[in-house]
Amino acid sequence: MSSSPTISQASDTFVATTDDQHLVEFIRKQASAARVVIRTRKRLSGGAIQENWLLDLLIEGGVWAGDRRWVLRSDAISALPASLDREQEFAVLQVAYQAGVKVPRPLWLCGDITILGRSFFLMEYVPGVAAGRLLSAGAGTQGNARLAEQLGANLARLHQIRPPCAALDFLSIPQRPPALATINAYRRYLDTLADAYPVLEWGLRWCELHAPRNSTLCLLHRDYRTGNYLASEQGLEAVLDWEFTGWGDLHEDLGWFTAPCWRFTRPDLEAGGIGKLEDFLRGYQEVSSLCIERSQLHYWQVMATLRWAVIALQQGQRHLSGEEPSLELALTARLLPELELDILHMTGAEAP
Amino acid sequence: MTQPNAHELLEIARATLLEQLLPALPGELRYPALMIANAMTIAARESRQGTQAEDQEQAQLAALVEEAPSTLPDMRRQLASAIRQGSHDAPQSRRILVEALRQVTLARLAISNPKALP
Repeated sequence: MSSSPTISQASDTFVATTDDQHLVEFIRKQASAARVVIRTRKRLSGGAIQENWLLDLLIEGGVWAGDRRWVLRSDAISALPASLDREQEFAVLQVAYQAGVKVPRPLWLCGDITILGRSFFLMEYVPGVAAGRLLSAGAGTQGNARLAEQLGANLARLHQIRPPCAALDFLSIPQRPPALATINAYRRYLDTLADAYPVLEWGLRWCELHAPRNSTLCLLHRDYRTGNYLASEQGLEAVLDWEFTGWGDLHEDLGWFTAPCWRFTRPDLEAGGIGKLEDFLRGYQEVSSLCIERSQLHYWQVMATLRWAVIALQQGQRHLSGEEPSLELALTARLLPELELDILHMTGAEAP
Repeated sequence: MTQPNAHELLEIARATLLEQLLPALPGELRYPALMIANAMTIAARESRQGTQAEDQEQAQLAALVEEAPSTLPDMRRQLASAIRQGSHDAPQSRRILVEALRQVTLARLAISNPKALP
């Protein structure tokens, strides 16, 4: 879950480690085509965890005949332990696609590592803008009502997927209530660090005291925010980055989307810095009959900010430990005071 | 200390990066160059304000912990542990805690990203 575009240059690792013929043959078989030509390929930015390649293909014969733009997504060298592997992510994408969630259409998974040296899958390319700063800067004074509404409706469609789900049996069902399990996990992480973080401890204590008693478990994206979807003039095109998906309280995704830390240039637009909260929630409730409580939303905004703070600490540790020296990771850790101030603001004397 | 000092060196190094190097860099190196400039400006502010911020934090935290330990890391640990155990749950105690932590955090934000100060 990278907060900003990665700076790694488009490397040639794909070219160097790939025998084109194997990939071409894989696509030819899956597409039942007579012939497949890779015209161009380009590494797409974004995602320190995966590599994404845009393939321009010419396919002759079969139902996919013609010019095709597909994305090949594979594991990168360094994967985060919390994230899904490509096989699991492909399964999630299929379930979401079938539920009517806007995602790039998943095509085929390849678990045979003799082809690329690691697992990968293919999906259709979707055009659009993902950059959070651009989307929030272009949202207009009243925000982008249509985009906000579509994002709400789309999330509600995802949340209609409930456990158990045979295709997603690799996702564990959280202990109830899920909020307390999360608080415990964050505390265990903080206990591994040399320094103590009183503000984060306070945020976690507040969340423990206010933990919701009841929750509806559903399929969560867990990184549903501006920056992780593609939008065009028509509105929402596709939701990306499904590697953190899991079962949890539906308000968790709503809190993550609306938290102050994900509003980019427009802190006034509560719905991801691109729209008004009421537009987003109206879209959600057009699809879902579930009642969204404001107190629940506030609670999960605090949890979202804590989660981002913990991730910022983890990113900093990746740099500090020497595992992955990186200026971007180092600067991410320096976001902490902003997140801590948000936490104090949301849990202080005026907070519920 | 030999002059110019740490923050003075960082500031002129940053100005040189932004004024002379950045315009000559190809587009894909713009973002890393701006990150370097940002890291330098944080380091310069920390060199100027860091000691004072820590002294203030020590004074703030000392008022919140019993039998204050001598070092700042130990104070943070003791306070964190007390918070987790619920020692600051009561409304009055919570108000004092959150206000003290707010002061500490504002001083850190003034170093990391003063543009985000309220």
